[in-house]
This record gives sequence, C-alpha cells and structure tokens, in this order.
Amino acid sequence: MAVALKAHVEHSSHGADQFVELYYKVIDTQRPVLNRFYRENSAILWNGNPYQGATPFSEFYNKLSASEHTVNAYDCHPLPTSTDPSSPGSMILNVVGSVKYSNEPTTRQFSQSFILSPDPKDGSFFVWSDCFRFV
Amino acid sequence: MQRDRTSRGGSGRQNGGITGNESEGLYTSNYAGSNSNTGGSGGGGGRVHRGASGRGRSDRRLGGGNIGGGGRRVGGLRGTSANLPHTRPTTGGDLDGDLDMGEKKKSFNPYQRPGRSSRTGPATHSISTDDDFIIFVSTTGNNIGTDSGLDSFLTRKADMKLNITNLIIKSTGEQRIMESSNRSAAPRLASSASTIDSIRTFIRSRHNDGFLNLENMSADPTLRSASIIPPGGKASSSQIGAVIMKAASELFPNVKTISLASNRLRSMQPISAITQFFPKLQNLSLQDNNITYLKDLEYISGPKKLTDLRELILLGNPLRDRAIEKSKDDFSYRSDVTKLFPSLTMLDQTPVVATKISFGLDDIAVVEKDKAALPVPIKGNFYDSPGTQAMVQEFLSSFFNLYDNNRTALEAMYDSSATFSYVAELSLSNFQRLKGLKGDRWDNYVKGSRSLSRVKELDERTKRIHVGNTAIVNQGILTLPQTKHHLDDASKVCVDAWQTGGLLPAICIYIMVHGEFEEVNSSQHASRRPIVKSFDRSFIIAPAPPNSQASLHGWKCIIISDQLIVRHYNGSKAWEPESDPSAPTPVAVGLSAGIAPNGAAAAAAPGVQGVQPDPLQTPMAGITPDQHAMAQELQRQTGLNYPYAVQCLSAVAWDFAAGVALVNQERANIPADAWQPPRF
Repeated sequence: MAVALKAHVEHSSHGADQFVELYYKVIDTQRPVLNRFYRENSAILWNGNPYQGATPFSEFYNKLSASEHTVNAYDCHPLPTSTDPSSPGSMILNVVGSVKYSNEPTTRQFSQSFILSPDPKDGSFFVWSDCFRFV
Repeated sequence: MQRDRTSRGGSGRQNGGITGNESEGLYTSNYAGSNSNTGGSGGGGGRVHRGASGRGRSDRRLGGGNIGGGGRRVGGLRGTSANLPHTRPTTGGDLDGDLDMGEKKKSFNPYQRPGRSSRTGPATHSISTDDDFIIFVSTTGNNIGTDSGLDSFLTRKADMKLNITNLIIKSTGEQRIMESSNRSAAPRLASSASTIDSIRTFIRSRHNDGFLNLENMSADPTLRSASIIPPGGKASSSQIGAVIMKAASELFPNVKTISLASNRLRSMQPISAITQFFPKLQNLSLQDNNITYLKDLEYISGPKKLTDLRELILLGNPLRDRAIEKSKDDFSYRSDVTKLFPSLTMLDQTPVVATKISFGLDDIAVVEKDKAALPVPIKGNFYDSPGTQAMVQEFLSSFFNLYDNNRTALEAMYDSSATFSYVAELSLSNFQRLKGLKGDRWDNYVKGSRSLSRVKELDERTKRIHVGNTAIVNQGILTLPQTKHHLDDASKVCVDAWQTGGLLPAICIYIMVHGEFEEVNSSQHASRRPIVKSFDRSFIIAPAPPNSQASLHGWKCIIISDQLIVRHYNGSKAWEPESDPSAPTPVAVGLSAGIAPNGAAAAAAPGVQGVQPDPLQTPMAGITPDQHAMAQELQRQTGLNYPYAVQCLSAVAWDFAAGVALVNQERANIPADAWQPPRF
C-alpha cells in the first residue's frame, strides 16, 4: 500500500515537474504549439471565461499578448482513475506564480489549476481541465 | 640536509603536490630549445644535460618553495641558500641556474595570464636558445595540474616557450610519471620500466574485448610492484585516476563497459576523468565501494556526462544499503539514482521502468505578436450550472465553518483515500514588500509545505501529502494555525466550479476557491493588527455514498482531494469583474446567501447534479423526439453521455424513474467512457 502511494507520488510529481517546466516555456516562447497540451474536450476557464476544447482556446490565446511567466510554487495530487487503481492515472496540479504581459507595465500574480490526464497512446499528460485566474 | 619545508604541505597526507624531499622529489625536465613550438628545432634527441638523470640523486635537489594556489606565499623556485644544487647549467643563467620567481606575498595562480605574472623583479637569468636544461622544481601544496598545465606554467615563468620533451614527476612516497604533451620528442630518460609503462601494462592486463575490469586495483600486482597507489587508495595521488583513464582511452578507446568494483571509492572525484575519456560509456559497475551519499555521484552525473550510460551497478554501497534499510524498499533509492542518470535502463541488474514523459512537441520558431493584453474581460465566479452552484455553495459554507470552528469534525467530510497537502508560497511582490508584510510568521506552514519546486526528494514528497481522512485531519489540518474565513463578503472570494465529467469513477465537482483568512493565534496578538493571508484552494468533491459518515451527518458530498496554497495577503482586486456590457455577467453571490433560485433542480436527484447535455445533439436514429428529450434529461441528472443515456433508457423501456434508479444502482460498474466530459 505504501509502495503504491509512493509510486503514484513519484509518477505524478515527476510528471508535474516535467509539465510545469515545459508548459510555461511553451506558453512564453512557442505559443502556437500550446494547443498540443489540450484536447477537443478539454475544459478551460480563463479568468471566468470558459472555452471548450483546444480550438476555441487557441483562438483566445493567439490574441493574448506575449507573456513571461515565473512559477513560484506548484503541488500535485494523484487522482484515482476509473479503471485500474494501481496504474498511474490523472492528477490535479496547482501552480502559483507571476506573469508579465509584454504590453502591460506591471506584473500580475496568477493561480492556475490543471487536471492532467495521461494520453493512452504515449503516456504524456494532456490537459483535461485548466482554471486560470489572476490573484 | 634540507629541512623539508615541503612537508608542511603534505603533513602526512598525500595532497598530490610535488614535493621536494630527501631522496626523491626530483622534478626534471629536458628543456630543449626555446621560442619554438612543440616539435620544433630543439626537439628530439638534442643534447641533454644529464645533471640528474633519475631518482635517488639526493644532491640534485632544489630547496622547496611553495607553488600552489590560494593564498600561499609564493616561494621562488630559487633555492634557499642552504639548498643550492651543485650543478651549473652550461650557459648563462644565474648562480644556480634556476628560474627566479621572486618571493611573493600574493597568492599565486599558475593559470594567471601572462602580463599578470607575480614576478616583480627582472629575470635574473638569461637562458639562451638552443640549450637544453634540466629544471628542478619543487613544490608543495596544490599541485599544478596536468602536465600541460605544467608546460604553460613553466613557459610563463621562463618567459619563453619551452619545449618539454619529458617530464618526470616524483613526490614523496610515490613516483608519478606523466608524459609530456609533446609526444613527438622521442628521448626518454633511460630508466627501468617507467610508471606510465606500468600503468599501460596494468590496463592491458585488465582489458578483454571491450570490457575494462578495474576492480580491486589496490591488490593488483602490476600496480603494486610499480608502487602506484590506485584511486580510492590511501595516499593516492589526485591525478592517478585521470592518468589511468587517459591511458586506457588511448589504448582501448572503444571500451563500453568498465568495472570499478571494490576500490574503496567514496566520492567519484578520483575517477571523474572517466566522463572525459569514456564519454560513450554504456555500462559501469561501482559495486562494493564506499559511496554513501547521492552527492558522491555528482562528479559523474549531470548534463553532458556519461549520456549513454545504460547500466549501472551500485550494489554493496552504503548509499543503497542505508536507503533500503531506512524505507524498507528500494523505491526512493532507485528513483533518486535514475534521476541522476536519466539514460539508465538497468540499475543494480534490475530494469529501470521508463518514466520519461514526453509531450511530442517539435520546436517551432518563436512568433511574437503584440496584442492587447487581455482579449477578454475578467469575469467573476463561474459555475457550469445552477445545480453545481447550489451544491458548491452549500459545501463551502459547511467546510469553512468547520475548518474555522471544529476541525476534528472534518474527518467525516474526507474520503478514506482522500488526499490533502498545503504549500506556503512566500515570495513577495514589490507592492507586498512595501506594505510591510515581510514580518508575518510562517513557521507553522513552512515545515510541511509541499512546494514541489523546492521539495525534490521522493521521500519528502510522499511524506508531505496526507492520505485518508484520519491522517488528513490529524497530521495535516490540525497542525495548521487557527483561521477565520469571512465568506459572506462576496467581493473577497472567488469561486470557479464545474463538474469533472467522466474522468473519475463518479461525477465529481471540481472547485477552485481564492480568498483570504485571518489567523487567530494568541501569540500573534502582539502585532495588534490581525494577520491576514491569501489562499488558493482546490477541491474535488464527490457525492457522499449512502450510509457514509458524511451522509449520516447530512452532507451531500465527500472530499476526494484538497490542495491548499497559502500566500502573503494580496487583496481581491485581481478577480474583480471588469464591466463588459456585452456579456451578461453572473452576479457574485456570497456563499452564505444560500441556494440559488434554481435550487429546485438540485432537489430532483440525489447527489450531484448531472451535466449539461449538448443542445445541438442530434437525436439518435430510431428514437422519438420525446425519447430524445428524456435521454437528455437523464444526462442532466446523472452525467451519462448521450449514447449511454439512450442505451440505459432503452434497457428500462423508457421508464425515466427506472432509468435514474438504474444508473445510481449500477454507478460503480459503469465504464469511464460512458460519462460526459465537462461542458461549460
């Protein structure tokens, strides 16, 4: 039991490490590729504005000014999957940090909360839901 | 004879310095020609002044000066008066034919650039070209480094280019011979098997078809008879590892497997040259050494080091044994080691389970466009349905009421496998710093804070996440300072919530709350102002199973996951809705305002409200419009997706109540893909 927990913690926190590093790098420097993290039924909420799926969301973020994110802290919990509890599953990942948009003078604090799910094809995590707020 | 000043540097420990010494300590170099490049005019078998040809000629020594880094006085190479050697060079030079370094008080750096030489006086020698010289150097303290470092060092000191054809370095207790970097010069000092030859013989004896077996080097007869102390051995030179690796790579560059077992190695520093000379190494055994901490491996791990390493053996090292003893399994140990060597496929002869997670992204050129910063206005609280809103508001009120006033009662609110953790995020924006927040007390949060950006070790990461309702309350929540949340002021809270769709075994609601709380703690009264902190808290809640503690207490939901981030107070302006005339903004409702007007819908079904069906859903072939509407209503109440709603109702002959009952009854057996994904 303890080993199972450790395994879940390892897989989810390792995935979180990689996701956080990659996601904010992409959103800051390779914005057009950002939609690879999302799927057709991803649920995205950006400061109270909902987007259903990668395509509507990419229309939105293409209008968003260039950004520079600084991650201050993140944490994640493994979540029980519906099928095999012992296989690595989804996770909830919360991030806090600050972001500076290129044509705003001040930096804003943000809180972003993801539910990530593994793509059955290659095990990489995609965004099931994404809740972003300035805080 | 000479009082051995150089013993100061050694003091019983071989520090790799070149020391002058009674019977040994000769450092000879054939100096052939000057201002010539290697392989130039004087090279080769020029006249060699064989003043001191070998070991044991004790009258040839030079008194010790110190050459070393770091604050030592630079003694000159000039001998002290008691220590002048008796030989004279054939031409020129000062009295004793050595190089005058001057006595310096500054610390000496052999790698100083020319022009910043520490010499002050004019050279007292003049060494003309075309002559060979033997230069005696005696040093203590840090050694100069590689033979090529010595080349440049002497060159600088001699103020001219030296062509060093052969170096023999000897020091107390050991002979070290390093080949000069000018290999085209042929003559060796005539002597019996030189050290480098011994090393080569040794390496040859240990090589077999791509496998270099360097285990237990201290017992090796070849090395012993040449008095060479291998790396890891007591009083070994710090260079011996590099010498062996270099020689081995010259002899057998295609070696892919090396064993360094049983060498009493602690840190990898003595053999760190392995990364330089065998960069494509695939298999490495460090079995039965003395590696104790992960840090000991740092000299051979990291970017650009041993990037092809497939197999590593660390069996029989304290690092492994102690980790396993401590946690009763090798999980953390393996996790930590495979993180250091990401290319590993086999550790300790057990396969490494690949956990590399890729996202399949290609690099695309940066496209930067300057657009309006916020293409959409900030909106207030978001709920995907009135049913969700009602459920969430009720949950949050109950939860924070207990969290502020009766934390032990929270135990019934968490699932037996629920997870909870918290993070204290302490960076301050400039604005916050100005407000004098720096002095707030955070001790109670910091200890258990699970910021994965700071906490990197698997064991700590596992320790700081609390699992199960009992552990969560007793080891998590009750250890945190007392709080007071004021949720009735709608402007100070921001809630986003929606149903998670089919991701989890039941329909859950995902909630993200942003707000503030007061810390209630007698020891903080001294500051006279209430300490307020900001927080972000995510919840995943599920319908409370019947007969669970939660439902016995009258709660509709239990908590599956609760993650809290506490930060310095930052107010609530950030989520203040911006006025946007086009959009009908939902009015922010304080959480104690009770059920929303559509509360009646929530009462229709037990547990969590179903998901919103797709209004554009085309009716399935073969069903009537009424049946289609019924299917969509079933979706709303149970969260099934459309095809499964139809299937379910077909199974109960389109009896709606029976359909609802069937779903609730069979919920655990319904597959994941039967559920609707979240829809806003």
